[in-house]
Amino acid sequence: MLEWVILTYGVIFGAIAVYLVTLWLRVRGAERDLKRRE
Amino acid sequence: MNTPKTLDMHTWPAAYWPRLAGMPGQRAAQILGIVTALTMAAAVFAAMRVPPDTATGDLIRILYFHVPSAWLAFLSFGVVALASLVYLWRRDRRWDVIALASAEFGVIMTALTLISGSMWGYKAWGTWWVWDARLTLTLVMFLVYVGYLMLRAYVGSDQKRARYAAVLGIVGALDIPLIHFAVEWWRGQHPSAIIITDSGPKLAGSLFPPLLLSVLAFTLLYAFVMIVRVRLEQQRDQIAALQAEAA
Repeated sequence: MLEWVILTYGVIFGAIAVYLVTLWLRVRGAERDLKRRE
Repeated sequence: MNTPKTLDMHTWPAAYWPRLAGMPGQRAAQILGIVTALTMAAAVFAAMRVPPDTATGDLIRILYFHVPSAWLAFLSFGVVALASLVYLWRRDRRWDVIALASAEFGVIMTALTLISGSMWGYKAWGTWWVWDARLTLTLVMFLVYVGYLMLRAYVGSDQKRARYAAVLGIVGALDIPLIHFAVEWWRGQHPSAIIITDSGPKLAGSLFPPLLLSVLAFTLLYAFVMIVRVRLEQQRDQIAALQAEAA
């Protein structure tokens, strides 16, 4: 049962981590774009 | 979930939160990010230390992140509704940006609420899904806000997009009280409320602090994501303003 709990935690924190990484990539892209245009 | 910018974007004022766009905003995000990561690690540690439940054994540990996910879904969409109301009243882009940032994260947290609940149900009930009132209404809320993000992605004019999205954002949030009271109003399979009840929290004394810690960690995560996501939208508006200026 503990394996199932760990798998659930993995899904929750994995999804949050993926979102945070994509957010960071989007921020980095926007920062570069903004610097280039300024 | 990119929001396409159109030529009338220059009607929005750019860099509407100068402090958030600059160093203070970046510093705040960094500090909040570190505090959130530490609190989250402590919450996981605390959840793994609670004694197994007599009925569901170790499965009780899923609750420590299922409930905070649901809390964040409610908080996110509550903020969407409030910001949308203020947007319709003031027509200030900043409130539209807050609604967008909150809706995006709310959709993810609702999906995680449904998934973690399903994973718990698979072991506890022997099935991934039942058409219980609370589960179904949560699924409806998820679909409404996926629709909200789609609407934002496909409506061309900025003013129109913000207006339509605000209306949908308010309507969708009407589902929040329905989800909360669903376990009382309709008999279903979802366990009844354990935290916000008339007689106070029903969780045993030693199990309550770890849950509070998880709720705190997730709330900090929400604040962190909001700062970063709002900064991003502001940067995009600045880029769109520069594009319009150059055209």
